[in-house]
Amino acid sequence: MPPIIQVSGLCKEFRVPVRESGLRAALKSLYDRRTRTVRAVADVSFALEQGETVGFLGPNGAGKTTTLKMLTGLLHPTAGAATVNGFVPWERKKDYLRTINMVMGNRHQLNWDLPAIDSFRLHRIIYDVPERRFQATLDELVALLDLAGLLDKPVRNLSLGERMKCEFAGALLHRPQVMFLDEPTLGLDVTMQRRIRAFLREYNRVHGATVLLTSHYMADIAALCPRVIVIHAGRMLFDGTLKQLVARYAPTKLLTFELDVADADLRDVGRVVAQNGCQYRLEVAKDRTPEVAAQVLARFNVTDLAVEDPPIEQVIAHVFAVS
Amino acid sequence: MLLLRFYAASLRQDLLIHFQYRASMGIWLLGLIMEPLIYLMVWQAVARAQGGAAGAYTPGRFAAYFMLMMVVNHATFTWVMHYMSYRIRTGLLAGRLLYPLHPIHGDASHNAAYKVLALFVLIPAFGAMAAAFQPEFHFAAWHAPAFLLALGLAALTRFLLEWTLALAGFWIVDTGALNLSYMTLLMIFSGRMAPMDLFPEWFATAGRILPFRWCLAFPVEILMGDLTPTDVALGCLALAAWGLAAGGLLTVVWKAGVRRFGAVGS
Repeated sequence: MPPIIQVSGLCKEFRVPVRESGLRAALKSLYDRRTRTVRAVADVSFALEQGETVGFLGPNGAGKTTTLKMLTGLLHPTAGAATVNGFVPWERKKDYLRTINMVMGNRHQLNWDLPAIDSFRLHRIIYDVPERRFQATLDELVALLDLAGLLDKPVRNLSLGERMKCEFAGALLHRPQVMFLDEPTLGLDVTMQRRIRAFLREYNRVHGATVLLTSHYMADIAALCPRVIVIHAGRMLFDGTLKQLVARYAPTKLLTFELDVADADLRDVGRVVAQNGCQYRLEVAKDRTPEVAAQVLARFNVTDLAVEDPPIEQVIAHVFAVS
Repeated sequence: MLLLRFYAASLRQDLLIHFQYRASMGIWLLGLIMEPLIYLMVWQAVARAQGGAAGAYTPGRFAAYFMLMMVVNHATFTWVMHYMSYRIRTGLLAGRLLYPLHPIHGDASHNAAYKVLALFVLIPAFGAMAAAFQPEFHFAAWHAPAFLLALGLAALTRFLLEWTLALAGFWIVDTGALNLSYMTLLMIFSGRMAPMDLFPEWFATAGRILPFRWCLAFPVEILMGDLTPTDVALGCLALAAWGLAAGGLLTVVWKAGVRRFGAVGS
């Protein structure tokens, strides 16, 4: 079975005006208009199998959203090829648009002035969803997202979290086979983030939808995405599992141990990053981990010892810093 | 069939939205009524000052002309050009582009719903003006269906033209000046300020070349009873030609615009 998303050598360049500050520069721009080309995405290639949930990671301006916009048909690429569900996205065929959707954390598709249920009913007609299937999907989404009591309120009267839940429901009413999620938990509190994550996991399990997700919250990625694609300055840096990412890029390990004293001198062993009573946490270079662990065991009376990878946020920050 | 179901549902939803902005709607409608009312009073005064008529227009004929102009302008005006550039600039258009439906349909429905609701103000206003200014209508029975046909074509043509103009927002950040230029041309050449036959001949010729007269003065002239069946047929053909041209232009400009769209801000 061919991949549901196949991206090959995708590039996107924008021409942006260049103007220095000041009145003279403003006047000069009337007859000497200068532009420069910004390469937002450069030679990005990957493939996703049906039912995969993949995290798309990168710092601000890395090209994540631009890539997602090309795959949803909102932007035309400068070069490269892509197919999603057998369609070329930027041809914007209606049959293609019926099979996908994109949820953006900072944008809304529901009508601000009306209760969400009114927008849902219009979505049903736009996507040509039979009434019975619409009602069944709506019931399922109401249960999964705990929407009872929200559907009849005007959207503008909902809290951000409530609105995002309704946005998700609206985006899924036609049961898209491919979902592009751009910062879906942006600005939500921890409880709501967890709820959205649980919902996405369940939706993916039940419907086998393919999900490409961008998020700056590593908890989203860790909870939902067995595989991640890392992009920086428009170029792909990594494509693999989170575990492989950590193994390849984490420069350090965390050594957590408990001693029988609270004032142990560990300065010559490694950098203490946390101490809580007799419990210490050392950050040590990955290749020195066995040696440092042996040193600690030899010099102190250790009651408990664990070797861990650093937090994923730290690994990602390191990836971006070194690239 | 899908489109019909969409329009039925969307019209209902748009009516609900307009209901929420009653004050804003009332202010807009006041402007729609005041403009022809002022021209009507000015031209009636001119006719009386000239001994009872200006050109072929008596005060009663001026009243009929501007009351009909109010109806035709209401049926054909659009406001999409005033917010399309905002939609494009802020990336709001992206949400609409994700739907498997051309965004023009949502705008058409929104526009139509407003027109339907506004009838509750426009009809009493028309009645009050009729009582106050004694309009003289001289039309035959066949003029009524001809008027409705011309009005439908005019509304469609003006909507397509102005939707196309609104797409300038893909290339220009602030389209305000362009919109104002268009509105000025429309004001001058559409017969909104005065009947076209009161202007010099060269002006009337320019009016026949441009689309504005066909979209506004032409349906009015039909119900004024001034046109022959041949005039009406030729006028409808001119409107249809402008409508087709606008539709073709819209298709080309839309394709180019969407290709250029940066979806910035979304």
